[in-house]
Amino acid sequence: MSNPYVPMPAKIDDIIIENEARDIKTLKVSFTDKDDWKRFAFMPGQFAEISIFGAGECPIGIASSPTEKGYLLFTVKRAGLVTMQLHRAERGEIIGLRGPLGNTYPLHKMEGHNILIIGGGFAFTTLRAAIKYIIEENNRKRFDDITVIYGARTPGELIYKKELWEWEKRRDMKTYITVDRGDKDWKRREGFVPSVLKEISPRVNETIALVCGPPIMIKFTLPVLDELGFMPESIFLSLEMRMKCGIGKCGRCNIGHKYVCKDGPVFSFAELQELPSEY
Amino acid sequence: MVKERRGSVILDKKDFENFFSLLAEKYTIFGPSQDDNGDAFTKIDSPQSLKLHYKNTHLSLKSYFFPQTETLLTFDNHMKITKGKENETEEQTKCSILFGVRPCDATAIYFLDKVFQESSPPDPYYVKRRSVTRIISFACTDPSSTCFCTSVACGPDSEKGSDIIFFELDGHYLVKQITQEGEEILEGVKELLKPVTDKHIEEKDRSMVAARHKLRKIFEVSNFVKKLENFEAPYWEKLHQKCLGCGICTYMCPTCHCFDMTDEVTGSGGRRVRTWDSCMFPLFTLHASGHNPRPTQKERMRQRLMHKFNYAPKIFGEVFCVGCGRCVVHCPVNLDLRSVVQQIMEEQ
Repeated sequence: MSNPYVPMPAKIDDIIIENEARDIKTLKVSFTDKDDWKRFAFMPGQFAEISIFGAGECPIGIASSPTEKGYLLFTVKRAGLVTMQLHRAERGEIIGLRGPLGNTYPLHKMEGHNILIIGGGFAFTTLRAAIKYIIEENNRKRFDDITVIYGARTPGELIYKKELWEWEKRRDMKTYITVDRGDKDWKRREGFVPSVLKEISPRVNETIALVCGPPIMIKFTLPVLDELGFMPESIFLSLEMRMKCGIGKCGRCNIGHKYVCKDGPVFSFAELQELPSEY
Repeated sequence: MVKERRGSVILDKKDFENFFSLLAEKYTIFGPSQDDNGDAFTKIDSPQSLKLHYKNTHLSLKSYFFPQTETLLTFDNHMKITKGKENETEEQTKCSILFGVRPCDATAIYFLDKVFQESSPPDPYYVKRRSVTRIISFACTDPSSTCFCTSVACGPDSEKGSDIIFFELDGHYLVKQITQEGEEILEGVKELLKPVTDKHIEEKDRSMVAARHKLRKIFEVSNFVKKLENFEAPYWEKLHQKCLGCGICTYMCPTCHCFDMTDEVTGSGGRRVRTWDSCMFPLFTLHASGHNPRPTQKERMRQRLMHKFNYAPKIFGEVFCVGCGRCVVHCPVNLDLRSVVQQIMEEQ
């Protein structure tokens, strides 16, 4: 029997500082044992438990797409004990990975549909994985119109900036980047994500929306989606929760009778409406 | 082996010592012992040290399969895993028998099996211990005043989780085999076993009626499960007010199985340990951001009751309470689960 508690060793190949506050870093890692790539077959939306031996584990969404070969990306905000240690880690260091854990964005369901992706702040990591996946050369034709709305408090807090500007230039997708408050060099949109969503009013028919962001963004985005005519079944959200085991046993990440680690982290808004609002 | 009346046989009490000795040749036996007044299960070397008439043991049996603390893996200073990859849980050459288990405690193990063994992925540490342990329970004729097993779809003769169940009769035991593993155990002692008669069955049934009579059914559990559908009900505001949040109910509970995973470091490396945790504690769900989805004791007490009586039925089709009454006995402020249920049932 394979032991789901044992992490697979992975080496940090590169570290990218994502924001001005320098508390968000992307770790580019690769498995030290080649066989572990097969064991870690994943799809966008899933996460892993990252280990720093001595500090512990924490659940982090996989920010890279399975179409990106030879590396995995994890974007980590410094918040607690383990993420603090992950921020101190240097190139070449070995960390542990357990996963892939949880469910995925509904990629099968998304095929043949328009895709609306709405992200806010640091909670853009698995959405990046989804975007990279659907715009990949071989996959692109399986999806119709792609619209991405992404916002952060300030220009310095936007993550994956280089890619954002590349996506803006692409003709096969629409990318709207906004910040709450621009600075003197900011030439793009200013405004909160929900108002940008309202302003651009994307097509609702045959559209599936993926939403991930801070609670305040979610709170004001869902009513706009409803106003635009989105059904709760067509809206998918990715949640986070304090976790330990990641396999539905340790008992802390439940919302009602669903475990975020195992039944989630992706839930449709219709599913969430059936659950207690304890998250 | 005599196979009659759905695998029931008779063991004379005078043959019990022989029976025990034969079992002890093949199995390591744990049971409630005379030495500590039946307060816990310990290794039993002779039938004389077994204490088969006892009230529920202080601690449940969950720690046999799911210890309060256990090492999941060890690592060295170079972040290399040194132990854990092969799941080197302590090797056992001999299978163990937990002997004289209360049916409620055996039922609790049956529930834990659903979490650790039957849900994918299985927990290798639990599965390994479970696979080398057999459970022989004793039907309960002497419930405590705090027992309420018949209110929660368990009972003094519940067979769930047991490989064999014993019923004490006048001068005999009626021995009922429940699983394949139970059959294997009885195969090894078949020369001591006699066929069961209708008289024995009647005597057993009478003793169970008497036992059930002592256990007042306090509530209809299926109604309670439905009642809890109202998550935002106003009564949660008052029910928790007495609760200190000490967590003793969860530690004593035979079905509570929440755990924490933490790293401990020594000079030359360290280990990752799993430790019992409790939904009664504020840190249990506290996010690193400072957000806590269950910020007060109200949400935490609701979680405990909902998990047992509403979520578990949805996930496993079973109420995760066996009515052993340990939470009732040990609560320092006498927050009696039975009266909490009654209060909720009386609410509109």
